[in-house]
Amino acid sequence: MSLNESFETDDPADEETSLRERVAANPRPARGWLIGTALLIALEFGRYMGWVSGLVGAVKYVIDLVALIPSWIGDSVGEATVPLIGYLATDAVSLTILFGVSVLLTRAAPWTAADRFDFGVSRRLARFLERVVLTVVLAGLAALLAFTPVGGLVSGAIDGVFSTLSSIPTLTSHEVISNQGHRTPDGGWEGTFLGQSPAVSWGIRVVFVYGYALAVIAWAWKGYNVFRDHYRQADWTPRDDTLHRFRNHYWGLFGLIVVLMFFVTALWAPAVSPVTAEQNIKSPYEYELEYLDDDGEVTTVTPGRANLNTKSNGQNTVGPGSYDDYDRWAPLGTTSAGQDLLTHIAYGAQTSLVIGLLAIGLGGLIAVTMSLVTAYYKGLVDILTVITSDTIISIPAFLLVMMISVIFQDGNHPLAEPLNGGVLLGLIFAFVYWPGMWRTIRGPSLQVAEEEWVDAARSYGQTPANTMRKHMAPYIAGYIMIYGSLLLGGIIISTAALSFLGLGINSPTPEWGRLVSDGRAFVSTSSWHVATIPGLMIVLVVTAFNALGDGLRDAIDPEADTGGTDDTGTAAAGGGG
Amino acid sequence: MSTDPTAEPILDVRNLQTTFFTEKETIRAVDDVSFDIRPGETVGVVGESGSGKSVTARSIMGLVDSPGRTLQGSSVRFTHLETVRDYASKFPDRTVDIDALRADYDPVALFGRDAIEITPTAFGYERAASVPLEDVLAAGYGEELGLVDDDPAVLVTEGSIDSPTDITDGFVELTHLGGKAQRLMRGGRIAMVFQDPLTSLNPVYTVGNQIKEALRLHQGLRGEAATREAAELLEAVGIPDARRRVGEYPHQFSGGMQQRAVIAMALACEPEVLICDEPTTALDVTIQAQILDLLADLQEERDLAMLFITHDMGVIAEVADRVNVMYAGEVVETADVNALFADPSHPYTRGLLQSIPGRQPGDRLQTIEGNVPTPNKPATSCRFAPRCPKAFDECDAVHPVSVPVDGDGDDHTAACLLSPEHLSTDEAIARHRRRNAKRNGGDTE
Repeated sequence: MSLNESFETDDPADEETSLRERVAANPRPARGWLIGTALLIALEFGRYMGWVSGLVGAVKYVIDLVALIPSWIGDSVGEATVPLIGYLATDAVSLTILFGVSVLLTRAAPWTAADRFDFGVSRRLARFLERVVLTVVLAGLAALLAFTPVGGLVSGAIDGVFSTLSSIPTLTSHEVISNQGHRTPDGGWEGTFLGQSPAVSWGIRVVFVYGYALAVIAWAWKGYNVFRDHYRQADWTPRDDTLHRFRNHYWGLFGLIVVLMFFVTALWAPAVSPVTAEQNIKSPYEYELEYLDDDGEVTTVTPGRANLNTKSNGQNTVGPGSYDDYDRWAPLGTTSAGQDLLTHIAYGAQTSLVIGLLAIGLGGLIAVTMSLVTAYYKGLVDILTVITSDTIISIPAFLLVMMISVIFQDGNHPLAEPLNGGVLLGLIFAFVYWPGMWRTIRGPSLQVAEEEWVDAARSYGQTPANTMRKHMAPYIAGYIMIYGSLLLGGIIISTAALSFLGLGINSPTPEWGRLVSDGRAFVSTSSWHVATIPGLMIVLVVTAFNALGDGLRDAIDPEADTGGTDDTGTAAAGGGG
Repeated sequence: MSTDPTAEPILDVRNLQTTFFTEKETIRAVDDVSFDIRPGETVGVVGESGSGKSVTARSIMGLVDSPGRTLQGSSVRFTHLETVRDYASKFPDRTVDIDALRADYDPVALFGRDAIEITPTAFGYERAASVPLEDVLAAGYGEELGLVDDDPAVLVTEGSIDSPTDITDGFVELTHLGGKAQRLMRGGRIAMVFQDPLTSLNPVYTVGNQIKEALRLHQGLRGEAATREAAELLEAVGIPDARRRVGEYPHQFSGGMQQRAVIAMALACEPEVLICDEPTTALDVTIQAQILDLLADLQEERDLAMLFITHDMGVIAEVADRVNVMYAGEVVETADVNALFADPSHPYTRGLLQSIPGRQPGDRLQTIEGNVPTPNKPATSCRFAPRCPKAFDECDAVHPVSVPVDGDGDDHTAACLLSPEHLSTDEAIARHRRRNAKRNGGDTE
């Protein structure tokens, strides 16, 4: 629901207090909803903590990358001149970066020492001194973390806290509902959930996952309704019509449902797969599993060894919905390497999602910023952006992606490490696709920049940044959402295509395109499922993103004819864009 | 609406030139326009579409977009003393003390060695020696002449910049403002009401929200205090049930109420000058009358100086104290409102007056044939000549300058070769020629 509300409040501080007041005046509906929310969070608390720890890991990775910059520059300088100058360069770059951080911090901070105390110097100087002091403090902290054991301790403590929190069993974790066990000689199952067969246990868990996700979505929708009925001041906003139009758009709803399922599959990948990727794909020789062998004995084997005998490669097939020789349940069969196909699909969804969101998020951010800046200032900055984007567009996109990807992969750049090139691919897509996004929203941005309310905002002294953010951005948000969702499908296809060619995501990170590539030799054999199922998934998800984009476009455009003609008058007056 | 004609003007526009440099041509949308506004006074600017009225207003606000630019030589002075003191203390880097610079200034030498392509006449003086330093600085020549490092935004003529509260005379030069200084001026000192109330309110925010935005920028009001102030403002502009209306969206307001809300927004920060760019054009006649009454009341209450732009002579007759008639980027006639309507001098003004329904004999409405030309060349002839019923040969050869219509008074001027009226046509033409020649440099009689 955050998207629905993000543009309604122009001034968070202002609106939040009044929302709080409104809730305080009538707490009953909000309390009921909050209790339900707390309950839902509690059920899956461990998993949410897992996501948070993933995010913390990403932040750490970014910090590590930034921390590499000074020594990288310093070393280059040192090699070209003398080592002493190299060290100095390292320090200078470090301090510059830290000063930048301190500028950001002082800007974000609600108060400054320069305002509070009178140092007897001009305000600007005071502010500068304040930042210098903060830089020195930050430098001390950084040195403490980097050169003393303190850094390791802090990092270890953070990791420890999150790994403890994320190992709390949840409703859908493997520990609670396990589908990994073995047959017993008397025909039953041991080690599975309530002694059920692995198929049933897995089925229960999957039902729980999607049921839980459905409950969360329904609850969020209910939260929006509670807000609208009890706490929103206006009894009508243009967004109501948008929602109304979207609810009657069946093609868009189909897209939304599939996209939501794709998200849920990606986020709950460990729960949806019968076995985690860690155990089945990444380090298969570090785990053990028990099975009932042909002699009726319960035997232990590593998943890696087991996988060797469960390949679906034409001669040997473990098809969808069957057990392999090691009492493992394979809902979608196995891959040509003997690993579980559903595990690959679910974790592959995660990979696609990270790449897609990174590319769209970063590319969209660049595109929106550039479109606002160029529409507002026009002139030289506009021309420079046109030239830049034309340069990027003039190179065939796929060729450019391949070129950059090969350069970074072969150079073993640290960016190519996470997700076996997934993050790198996301960044490359952002770089290659932002000009396209910018072009799509350029028209609407130029249009909104000419609106009189933008002039009105300038005429009462609003700053350029705020004018762009408050009075222009909401009008292109719809366009970027539509184009973003359409492009996300394109990025999923491109990622798959690159991996199919062997240039994208390397093993062991699961990726759909590589599955298609690996299984394509067996399409005409009994192992047809290896390439077909991921292929169909790609088609389904990409179609769904396009459908969602269509639906969004029709919902946001008040003049779109979707049957709800009764409210076009009011919508046209308020919708704009 | 009576004002003291001897009062000091609060806004003084001199030689304003705003030009759009498009790829195809150079359009002199505002070409050498001068007028001033005194506190409590309403100055009307009237003319057809394309005559440069709105660009004049936008140039004052600094809202001219690329590829448009206000040229060097233009000066828009804001002489409100409190503002000058405030700016002098807030922006000491951009303030200059005229007295301190006077030692380096020798106008005769400056104009004598042709350091700048401008003659003393362009500043309105006969001889170089009488051109004051502040005029040169305000017109943006200070940097070129090596008098200052940076075009100053605040010029203090009497008083010291070291103690801003003691300044007794000076002005803020609006064409040199930028960044924060400009933002403080916009809304806080000079506010603007746009033509179409429906589009000048952002449809996605509530009306109260937009008024609060302005309040927050200039008065630092937030939360409940801002909401209360916004409601009071809406009440002040005659919106009933203001407390509830604050939370409503623009589309829930009628056209007249929207314009009232826009006026409330403009007044939110208690400006000294209000620029109204055709504020009643998008409204029907009854609402128009209400809005005009409202503006008149507000002006009386707050002693506002108003610049009122319209193409409707009827509206001008009602609101303005003095009127500037604009045509193709130039002011062709300036007069007191009564004098203008009783005794229009310029043929264009007469044409405009005749085209008011009900003021002419006969069944057909008289119109001025043709359209306003695009002023894309420097004026070397009368721009109105092709449409003028009284045009004669010299009109295509001599550019008329503003001269007093009768005798010497500056109250009623017209830029027409037929003026001054007491001279014969030949004498008048000779005078226009002389003034042009002086202006463009060269001979000084």
